[in-house]
Amino acid sequence: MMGCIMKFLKKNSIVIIFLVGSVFYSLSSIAAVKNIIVNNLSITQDGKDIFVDFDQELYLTSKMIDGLKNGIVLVFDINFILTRDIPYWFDDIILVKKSRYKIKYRNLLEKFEVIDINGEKVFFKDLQAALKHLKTIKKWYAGNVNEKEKNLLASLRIQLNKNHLPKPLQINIKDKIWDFQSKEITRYIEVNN
Amino acid sequence: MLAKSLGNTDLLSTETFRLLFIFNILFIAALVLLIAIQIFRLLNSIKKEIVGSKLTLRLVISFALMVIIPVSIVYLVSVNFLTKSINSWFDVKVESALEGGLSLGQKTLNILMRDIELKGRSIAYTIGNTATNEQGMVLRDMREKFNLEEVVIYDNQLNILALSSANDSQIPVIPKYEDIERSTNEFYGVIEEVNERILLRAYLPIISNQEIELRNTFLEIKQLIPSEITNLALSVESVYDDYKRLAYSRKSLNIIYTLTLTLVLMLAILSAVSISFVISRRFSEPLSQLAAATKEISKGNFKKTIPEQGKKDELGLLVTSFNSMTKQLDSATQNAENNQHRLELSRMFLDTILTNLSSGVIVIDQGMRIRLHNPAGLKTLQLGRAKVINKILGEVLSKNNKIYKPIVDYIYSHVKGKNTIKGFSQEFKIKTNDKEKIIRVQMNSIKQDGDLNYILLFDDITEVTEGQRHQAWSEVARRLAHEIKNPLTPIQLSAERVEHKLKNKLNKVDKNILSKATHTIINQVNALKIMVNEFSDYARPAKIEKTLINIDLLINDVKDLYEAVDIEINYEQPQKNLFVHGDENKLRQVLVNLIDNAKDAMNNVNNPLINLRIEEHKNELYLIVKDNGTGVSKDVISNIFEPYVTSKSHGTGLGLAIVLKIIDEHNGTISIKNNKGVGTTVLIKLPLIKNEKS
Repeated sequence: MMGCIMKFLKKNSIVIIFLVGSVFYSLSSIAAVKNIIVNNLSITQDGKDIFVDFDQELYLTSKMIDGLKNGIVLVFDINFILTRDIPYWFDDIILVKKSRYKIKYRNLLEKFEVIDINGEKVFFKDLQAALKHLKTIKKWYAGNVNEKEKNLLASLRIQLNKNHLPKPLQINIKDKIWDFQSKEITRYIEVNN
Repeated sequence: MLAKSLGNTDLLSTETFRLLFIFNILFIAALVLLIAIQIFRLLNSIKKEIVGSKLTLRLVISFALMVIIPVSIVYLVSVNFLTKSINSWFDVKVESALEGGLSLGQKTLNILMRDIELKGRSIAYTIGNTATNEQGMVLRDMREKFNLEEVVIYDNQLNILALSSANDSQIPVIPKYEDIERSTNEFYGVIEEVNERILLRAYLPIISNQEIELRNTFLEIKQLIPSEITNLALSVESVYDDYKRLAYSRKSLNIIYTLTLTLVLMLAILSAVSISFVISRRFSEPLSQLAAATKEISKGNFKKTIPEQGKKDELGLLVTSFNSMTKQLDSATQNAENNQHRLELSRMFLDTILTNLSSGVIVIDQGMRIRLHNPAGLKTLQLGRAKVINKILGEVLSKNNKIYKPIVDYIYSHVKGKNTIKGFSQEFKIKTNDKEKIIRVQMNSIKQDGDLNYILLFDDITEVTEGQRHQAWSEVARRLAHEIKNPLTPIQLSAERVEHKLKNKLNKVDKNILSKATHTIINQVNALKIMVNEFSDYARPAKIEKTLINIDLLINDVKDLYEAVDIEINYEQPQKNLFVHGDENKLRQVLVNLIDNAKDAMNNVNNPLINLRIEEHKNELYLIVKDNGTGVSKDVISNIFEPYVTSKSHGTGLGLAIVLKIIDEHNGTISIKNNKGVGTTVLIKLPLIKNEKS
């Protein structure tokens, strides 16, 4: 028995090393720092329409702020997924809604430019005001579903889109500050009568 | 792919890059593991002294160095070049220029804003001193005069009181309350970007002389920056941002490029080392096989060949030549083994001959060192089973017995000359304890490989000489018997006739004299007859009639003959009857002769006693005659069985010679020795007949 196992390990050593490495890599991704705190998440169904309300706190690090001042655009993706629970099987995805907002420092104007999830461009003299502007999301239209659907599970995650960072920062595996995201928050939909 | 992914965002995502990076790391780890295993195996092979492993190690080191040194140099140069190239992108002058450009844009906007402020104050003052019903018209005139985009008057509730816009179709955007609030007492300006155009927005309170009517009214002025200035300013900002971004990620860029180059270096080196193992093994394999085969051949395995792989290069030729050589070596060895076998057989044959040769053979070198001998050689020289090879003959013989000194001297005299000799022969009389031996020594020299060796041939010719002597004596006896016996009867008859004729013619005195003389003649003639008869018996050719004889009965018969004699004969009868095959009369004659001799030896001995005993020894019968007489002198005892040798004052000296002859005729042996105390013991050995019926 042991002989067979050893023979298998010898024959497939590279594959095994690769698999073990991949598992470690995945675990390290899961263990990324959570610097976006989502509060007061509520999903309401009004007829067929789904609306999302939540508050968010962005705890930007000094390095990120420094990056902002150096022309780096911070693009945040909001991923909203609505699933139907199927016992003993994978959940059925009913709705996927993605949106984004941006924070950018305009050196010419010496202001922080914010483009919110509605696409509105707003300028702020200081970062805190910009973040305050982004803090509360109200009545964000996520899409529509069948009225009869009940017990739908919604999940929300906000994360920094690294593809908009300069390439060296994207692929610098040593620097983890750009792994900036929230936890995945889940809620059951509240149906408004 | 790693290098390409650095420059193009769309080609590979960050995750893909990371996966690629990890795959490279894992690949490197796998290569390191593979190399470690190969090194471990190689070191293990070296430890086990497997042929070819050291050569493989040397080749691996050589190949690896051939790759590592140039690749490392290229790597160092590349890293250095890359770092310097990246650093060269960030020039202080460029940065200053960009900052200057940006600052120029900012200052231009500020000047424009200042200009708007002045225009705004002028409009506010004019409006403040204009009647309410004329304000709209004045506002339009002022806007057109100052070439403004839009001028609006709001109250504190953000209601539009008056409006003038360059684009009448455009609905004015209601300002933020906080903007209005900030301009309660002073001018407040905002610079914004709207639809890729820079917009100057200004707010200021309207101060009116008709205070009650225009209290808490505000003026909003909007002015779009000319597109040329906007484009230039945004372009400078964009370049500045790009530059700052690049500068910010410079460190990461350095790390990534260095890491990528390091990975490439590692991959190149490790791949080269891995391949070097394969190449080294492939290259050293034929040489290893050759070395292993050579080792086998050195151990004597000439059948070892190397599989020819059909390569026509020098190694292939070497393998073919090696196989040809081993084939020839194998054939030569086979021949040598056959020759050796034949030689061995010849040597064994010679050994057998030498072993079975009755003559003793000893081969010595010039230093008289014994090189070869046969058992008979040692037996003849009474050396038993001594180990004498490489020992000096003189020392060996003098150590055992000094009686061989004449022989040693003779050999030494010839060896000393260091000359080749042929057919030298001499006989030596050697006196041992109880008998005399005659040894003939023959010497021949042989030259072998330049060394002179001597072959010594020793023959114990005692028996031959004795036989010849007996034969001579027999011839003498026969002639004597023939020559003497014939005239004896006429002499006796003549003497009796003379006595008979003259007895009555002579006087008494003469008669007595005649009678004594004739009596003496007759007596002497009779004595001569007896002697001649004995001679005749001795010389008579063997003519015996053998029958099965119970030796016990024979001894008792002979013993009975001596009952009247005043000598005690003690006979120890055996437990069982013992038989010999022989001539009863002859054997009786032997016994009588021995008892007579014993009796004669005990003439002056008190309590004379003759002991007769027979013993069974394997296939022989021992007949022992022991007396307590005077014994036999040492001079005589060695030749006692020769004719005319006697210690007695009377007799012919043929008695024991005849006894010896009879015993010889019965295939037996006889020996005589003096006892430790007194007397002699005669031992006769005769073949024993185990089965009476046979």
